[in-house]
Amino acid sequence: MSAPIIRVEELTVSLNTDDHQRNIIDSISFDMFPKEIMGLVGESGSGKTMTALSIMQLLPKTIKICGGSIWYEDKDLLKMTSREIRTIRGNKIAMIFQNPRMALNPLMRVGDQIARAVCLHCEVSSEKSKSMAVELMSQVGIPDAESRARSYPHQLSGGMAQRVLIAMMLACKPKLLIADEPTTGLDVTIQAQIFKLIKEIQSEIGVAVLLITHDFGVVSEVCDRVGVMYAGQIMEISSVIDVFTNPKHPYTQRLLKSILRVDRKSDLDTNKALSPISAVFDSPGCRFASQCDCVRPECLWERPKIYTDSPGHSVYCFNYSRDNK
Amino acid sequence: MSNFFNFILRRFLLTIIAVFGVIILVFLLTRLLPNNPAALRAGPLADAELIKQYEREMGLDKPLIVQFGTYTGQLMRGDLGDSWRTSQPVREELGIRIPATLELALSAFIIALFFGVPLGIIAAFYSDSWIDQIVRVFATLGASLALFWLALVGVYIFYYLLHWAAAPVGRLTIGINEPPEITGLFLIDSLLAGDIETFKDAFNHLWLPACTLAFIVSAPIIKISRSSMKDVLNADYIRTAKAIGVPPTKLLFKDGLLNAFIPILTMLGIVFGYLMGGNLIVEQVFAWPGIGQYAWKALSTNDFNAVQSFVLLIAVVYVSLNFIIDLIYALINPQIRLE
Ligand SMILES: Nc1ncnc2c1ncn2[C@@H]1O[C@H](COP(=O)(O)OP(=O)(O)OP(=O)(O)O)[C@@H](O)[C@H]1O
Ligand SMILES: [Mg+2]
Repeated sequence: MSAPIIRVEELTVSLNTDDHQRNIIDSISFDMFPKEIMGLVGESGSGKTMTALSIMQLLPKTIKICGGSIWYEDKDLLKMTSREIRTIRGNKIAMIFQNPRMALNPLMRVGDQIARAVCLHCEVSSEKSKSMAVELMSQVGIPDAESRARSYPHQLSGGMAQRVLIAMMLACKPKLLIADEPTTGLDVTIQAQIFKLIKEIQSEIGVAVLLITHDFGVVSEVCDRVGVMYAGQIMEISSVIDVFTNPKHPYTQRLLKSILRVDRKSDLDTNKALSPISAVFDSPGCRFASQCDCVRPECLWERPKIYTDSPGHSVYCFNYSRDNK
Repeated sequence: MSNFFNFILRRFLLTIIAVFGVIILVFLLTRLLPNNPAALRAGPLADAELIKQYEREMGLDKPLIVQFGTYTGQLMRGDLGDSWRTSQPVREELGIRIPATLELALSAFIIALFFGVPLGIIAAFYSDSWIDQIVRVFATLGASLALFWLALVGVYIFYYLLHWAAAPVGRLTIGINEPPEITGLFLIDSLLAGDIETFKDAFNHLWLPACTLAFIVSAPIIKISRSSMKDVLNADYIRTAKAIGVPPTKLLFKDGLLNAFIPILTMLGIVFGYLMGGNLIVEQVFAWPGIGQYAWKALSTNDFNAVQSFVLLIAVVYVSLNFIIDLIYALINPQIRLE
């Protein structure tokens, strides 16, 4: 396998409130390789969005990165000045969000918004950038791109708006595209189209995609690899096939089971029971320990070391690392 | 585009209706004042016969509806009636005073605008930092200091102690001639006439009352700029702009300001209306020959026509400001322009 384009190393992100500090992301590490689609799944509040925003350096003011590094081409993004970061954002690393219609400036024509993204990173005239914007729009499957470019966001459907955003983010052919639940709030049929588009674009321009989602169905269809997060920790990273056929971590196993059940529309509560309560964020050990069926004493005070089941399949769980010694 | 014209037309008709409503309201309100203006005009020694005669002359013996008909008829012809106090046409008396108030209001407005909006924006951008704290203290001062007190302190410091400002008696020093009237605004007229001496003198008289007013009205401008900018900076499209690497100044003054401008604009309209109609206190302290002083005298002597005309004038100012704001709003916001 080639060298990773992004290396996240022991990234720790904390939310400081008046009385105490909580690590909403607790020392996570993962690599992303060129041209792959990696999924990031986990329940609400597990820190997927914060992971993505850390890479982009777009965290809300109250939330700070307090440890680790994020390597992009031998440079640590976390050590860059804000000016240096701006040359990366939208250029080498781009991100699309949920609620695409809200993510576009309501007072600017969508074509101009795309053209602006082009202008920011490439030395082109404004006419050229406008025609490039139209080109990009037809590339992401917007019919009648020329006239659509003159629309305002409120005139577009959610699906169209997301395509516009994708076009905007692809303007400079980034190396990594982060998609944070890009289809939340869209119709099911539109959702499928957007994922199809992301996949097409990934193979066409060879961008790596970090896809954040709740939906294991999407993971199985779109992703090559997947990382499973719980309460700010990564529990397991593996290929998509392994995660379904050979899930190692007790949390992954529970999650898959509960999702299968939810599919049969019986018991939604299993899912709720799993969602992290705030106390686990202060635990020094595995944050899933209090819910885990196979919990060991050391799980409560020590972080599990990485256990590699097979190349590319890592689990953070004492049940494996100790057995294997 | 035709939607845009529809919108303007609708707004314009509403504006006309509003003006008409104001006319009715003002008419009724002044008739509800407790004193009989005919009696006042006749003086304390007059007998009933004289009062009756005055009432007939002033048309006060007719039914309200007839009085109203006469009144609106006059209005249509641009006739605001005569002041019962001075026996001069109200239109002329107001006409002389409007430029004075307008010059003061415009200057204060421009100062407050160019001061308040950027301050509010910067405070929003650096929210909760020391810059923000200072700006907020400043705005709170402006909101809580009494205009009267501030004006007097201003005169004391800048005229009496420092001599930076001219004596607070009117728009020009006695002996300096008014510039030939073009706009009625002395600063502009004196420049147009190339008369630097008059310009300097007018400026020396103007800046202190203008700054006093500006200080007071910049408070709401700062507050609304800060809060609407803060909202905008949290919006998703600002995050998108950051995600493509838009630099902060552009982010703030292009993406941000345009979107935050709509609530700010509404506040600017209110502030300007207030400056036109509400700066009586400053006009009093600085002996500024504007419409505020005139209205005060008219009100204290039950000078119907003058009071009516003043209230009407201010109401028309407010209503037209609202119309203009709606226009700008539609120009900025495509959702209104195109739907
Ligand atoms: N703006 C914020 N201010 C403070 N805390 C926040 C903020 N946004 C998120 N958090 C906290 O950070 C933690 C991680 O949130 P994050 O949004 O990354 O979760 P997520 O996995 O993306 O969830 P979801 O699936 O709901 O999007 C949560 O505990 C959440 O309460
Ligand atoms: Mg999220």
